[in-house]
Amino acid sequence: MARPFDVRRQRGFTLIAAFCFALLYLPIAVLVVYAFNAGPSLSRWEGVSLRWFVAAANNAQVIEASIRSLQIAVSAAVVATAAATLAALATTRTPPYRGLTTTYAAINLPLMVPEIVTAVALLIVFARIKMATGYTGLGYLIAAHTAFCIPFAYLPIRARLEGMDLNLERAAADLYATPLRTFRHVTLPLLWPGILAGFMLAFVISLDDVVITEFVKSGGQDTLPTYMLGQLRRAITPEMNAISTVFLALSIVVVTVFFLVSRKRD
Amino acid sequence: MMASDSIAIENVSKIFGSGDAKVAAVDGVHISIRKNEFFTLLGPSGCGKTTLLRLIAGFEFPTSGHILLDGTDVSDTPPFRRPINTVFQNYALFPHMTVEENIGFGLKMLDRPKAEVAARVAAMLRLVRMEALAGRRTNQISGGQQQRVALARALAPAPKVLLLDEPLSALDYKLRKEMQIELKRLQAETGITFIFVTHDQEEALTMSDRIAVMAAGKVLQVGTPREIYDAPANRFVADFIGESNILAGTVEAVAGGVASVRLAAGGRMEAVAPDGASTGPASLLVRPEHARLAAAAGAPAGALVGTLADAVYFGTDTHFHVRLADGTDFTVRQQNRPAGEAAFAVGEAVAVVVEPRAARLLGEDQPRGAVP
Amino acid sequence: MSAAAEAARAREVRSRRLLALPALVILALAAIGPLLVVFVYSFLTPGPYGDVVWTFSTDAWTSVFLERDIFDDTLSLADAHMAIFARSVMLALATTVLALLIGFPTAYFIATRPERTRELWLFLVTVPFWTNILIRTFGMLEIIRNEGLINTVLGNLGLIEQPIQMLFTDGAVMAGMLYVYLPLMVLPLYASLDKLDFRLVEAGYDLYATPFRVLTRIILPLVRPGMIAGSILVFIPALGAYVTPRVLGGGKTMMFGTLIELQFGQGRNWPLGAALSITLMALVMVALLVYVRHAGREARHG
Repeated sequence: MARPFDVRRQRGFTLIAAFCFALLYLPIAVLVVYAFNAGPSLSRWEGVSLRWFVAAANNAQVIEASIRSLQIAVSAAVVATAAATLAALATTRTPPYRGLTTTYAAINLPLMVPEIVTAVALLIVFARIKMATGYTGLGYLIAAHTAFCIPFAYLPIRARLEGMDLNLERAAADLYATPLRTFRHVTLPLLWPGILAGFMLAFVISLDDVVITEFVKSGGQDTLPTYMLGQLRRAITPEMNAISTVFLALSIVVVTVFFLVSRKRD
Repeated sequence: MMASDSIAIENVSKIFGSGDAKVAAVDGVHISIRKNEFFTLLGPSGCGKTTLLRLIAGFEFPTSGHILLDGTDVSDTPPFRRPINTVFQNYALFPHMTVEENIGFGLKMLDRPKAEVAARVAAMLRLVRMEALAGRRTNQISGGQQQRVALARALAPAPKVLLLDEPLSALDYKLRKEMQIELKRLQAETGITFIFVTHDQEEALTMSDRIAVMAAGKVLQVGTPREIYDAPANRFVADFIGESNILAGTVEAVAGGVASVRLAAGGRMEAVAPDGASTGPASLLVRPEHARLAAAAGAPAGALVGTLADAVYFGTDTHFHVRLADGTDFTVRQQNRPAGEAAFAVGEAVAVVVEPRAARLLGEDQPRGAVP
Repeated sequence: MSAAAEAARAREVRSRRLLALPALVILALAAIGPLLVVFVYSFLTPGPYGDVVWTFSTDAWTSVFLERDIFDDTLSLADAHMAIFARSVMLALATTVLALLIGFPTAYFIATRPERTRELWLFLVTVPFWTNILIRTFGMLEIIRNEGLINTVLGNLGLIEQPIQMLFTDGAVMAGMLYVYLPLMVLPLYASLDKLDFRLVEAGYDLYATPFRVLTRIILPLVRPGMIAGSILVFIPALGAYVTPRVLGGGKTMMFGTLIELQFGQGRNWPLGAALSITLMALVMVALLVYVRHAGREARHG
């Protein structure tokens, strides 16, 4: 018997969606499963073991790269979020003024430039500065990451601000709050979820970056992604899977928090 | 400005935009609002009433003119230095604070001692009967309760003037009626000047001490509800407040406040004339409830004659639409009596009898007290 | 405007400009400024060990499109570069079309779930999006390499004797990019479909449209902005992709991204790399212009 007519149904769409989710998760699933392989192969299963996680944890290079990744991601995300918050306050809920469009374009530009082009541009400029100053520290990577994180941090903060009722700040002013106190007692507390979301976006974007880091880093400044990229050229062991699995778990935690924070609307 | 004035608005204009896109949202408004008065700004949407309210609150600054509070010019004073508080249309309650924190916010910003704030908040909660919900978040209470919190929050700092921007429009009919009574009670208890903005004429008529009718940025008439209804200054006010029949005619003579008018629909009618009325073409206002229908045969002298075009039954009364000789539609509203009364049939010739002193000569459609 | 209002406005604009300043300085130093330097470098002469010599030259730009014959010095179209450009564009286009064909039904599927489960499905699309691109590419690598999942399964089933060579082909690069960029297609499509008023679909059925015609005449036109946005979001990074072609494509299937990298590595021709980067930027700008024009037309219609 034919099933009752459903206006939302389109023939075959569910099947394609199933394929899509399989495509999205199969590679990740295989990756995670073989991280627990007892043997050294990525294709022959030899039983469950945590040996590759142990190996990764004892690999000084991995630990060093992880710490460096976190250092860069935290620094870049903090600075980018602070700058993006101020920029969002400057560019939302205002009648147009001279410089507004330019500011807006400048903030969004990094989203439109292919990563490889930004990477090359930074390589060129930072190479000059390294030669001129002799400084080869992490500053270059942090500066580069901060710049490309700004538009990502800006997005949720701007969205939050634009969804905010201007009348709330008017009400505060009406109730004798000076502009500074209005910001502290009304604007900032209401903006907070947006700032948090922006920070987490920036953090993940920085943590995930491969291309720009690969071009900008000086010798011995591998982050976890560039270390992994280097390893992919050699014979791969499940240690890579173990590292990826931990990385993946971290991403999922951050995304979950991001999802919960940005979903909360009050 | 008189000593009893709370707010004086002196020739205030507010122009938005520039060049060709200039719009005068408020155009040369001149009104005085007395102490402890319930004053209503009434008009269709876009008439400038909300802009005028925002000018008084300090969210906008006038392009020209002055706003005086108790005799002091506050035109350029920012809102956080004006002892005037606002109840916003959507309440604008702070979602990240509790009911209590919302009510205490103004006093906290005024750096009042903690004990005083607490006592005042408690008093306000009692005043609006919200003691039980003091600790709730504002998104956990109903629309009517939010309304009360907004009122308490605006009243807590004991402002000299309370501004209310269509505060009842979001409530359903029954709650609106309750809040209307509540607002009148609060005004009586606090003795604060209320300036109330609405587009609802019934609300304005029932609640206000005085009403200013606005259109296109201008004040057309200021008066008590009775003055506005019975003696509208012009056709716009007559049309906007209540239902009205407008008859075209020519004034032939004016004597002792009564004009003798020859009607375009035929016949002649005596009408109450405002001061300074003169002879010439004019419009007459007759409210639908101030006329009754009679059989065409044997109608009294001076009655209007026409054809009954339609009769619409409303339960308490019936609206008869009569087409007069010159094509004007005239509505008669007649209370329904116990069954058995002779009914009029649609298409029948009928007479409309206007009660004595019910017709009123309307002024020109010029705003009063404003320079065009 | 009154003097007070004007002064207040001027103060506000000044403080707004000040607030935007930190972000603008960072972007100028580490994003926009360097792009201008790339432009300058494309007109210089390559240095012997990388970097540049400060002599003006248009050689880099010439060699983007043309190549000089070693023997008779005649110029001809740079076949190698042209092939790489063409491959990049074709692979990016194919990736976009496939992502649309898979992404649309998926977004539709999510948008038609009950309210309670919809967020979960959306979350499932978001997780891969936030997962490191390298990890995902690595995952794909494990699926398609000679000892990977597909070949192992087919081999164990006895369907093949020799592993199928999938790695280091154009197909591998495309599969990798499809996998990596698919969420970028699904998310904007979902945003469009989520706003779709299903009463319009009901109206279509009421007026005798078949399900297919409802899809093509009602749903697709209404979510066109989402389709265009998703296509742009996939096409642009695919065109400039670097990680995926490097890991899955190998040396023979070079794309724009890997070609640029080559000039800064073994090629030691920074000006050429700079000129290629500008060329890539120009292609991206063309794609964006097409998008803006479409989006503009959309706005006028609706």
